[in-house]
Amino acid sequence: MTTNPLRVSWAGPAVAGALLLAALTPLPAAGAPVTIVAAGAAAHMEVICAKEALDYALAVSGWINAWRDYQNTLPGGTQQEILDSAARLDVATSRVGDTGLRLIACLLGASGGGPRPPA
Amino acid sequence: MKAFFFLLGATALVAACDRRAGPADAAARAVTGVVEVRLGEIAQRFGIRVDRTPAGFLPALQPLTGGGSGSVGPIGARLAALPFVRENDASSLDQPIAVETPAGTVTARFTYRTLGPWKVLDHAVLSVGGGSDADLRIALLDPRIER
Repeated sequence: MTTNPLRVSWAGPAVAGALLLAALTPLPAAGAPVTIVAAGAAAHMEVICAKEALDYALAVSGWINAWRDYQNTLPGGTQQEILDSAARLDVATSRVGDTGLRLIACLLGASGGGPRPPA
Repeated sequence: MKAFFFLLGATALVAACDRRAGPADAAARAVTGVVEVRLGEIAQRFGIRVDRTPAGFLPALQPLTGGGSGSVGPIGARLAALPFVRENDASSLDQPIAVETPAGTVTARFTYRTLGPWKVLDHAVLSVGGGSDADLRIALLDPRIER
């Protein structure tokens, strides 16, 4: 039982087939987003980060509205109106930061890159 | 004889590809830099120091803009939970991550780059619906190794 595995009759076709398959396998396009719907860890990631992603998307929507409101108030608004819209923009900005950082922490933690807990 | 040369070649290849920290990298103790959080035209900056300890990477932040109270506030506290520094053999995150939500598709892009024996977060960008002026950008500026 000292057969050299590289000299068996099927070794040549097997290696050639593997090389051919590797050459024909399409590579993902650079920059193409990867939707997290795949099996295994990726699907798990989508489940555990879905709430964070929705919170962030809603916060961004609110921020855009607050920003437009602030921009519209500046020319001709009373001092109180400007102060009120600035306060709303400040709250919306904080919400985007808070939800966005929670989402990033979730995604990076779910992909195994999270900080290690103290011993 | 042929097997010996094959073994020799394989050993040389493995040695050439071995990217473990060398003696100089082993002296690295921390990473310092500036973290910038940007949303549209609004930006906030924090000084950061991430120490390598037996328990892992421990970040400490201090505010550079937006108040002199010394407190990093809620944003700084959230930032401290992010893995700005990772082991060099950590999994790659080169491809964007898209999460479908009822309020639009959220896309996250993370870019880490090698710094000494570790990988450091170059930038993280969150976009909703293909990106706009409302992207949230986190960047680690001017990262340096402390020995």
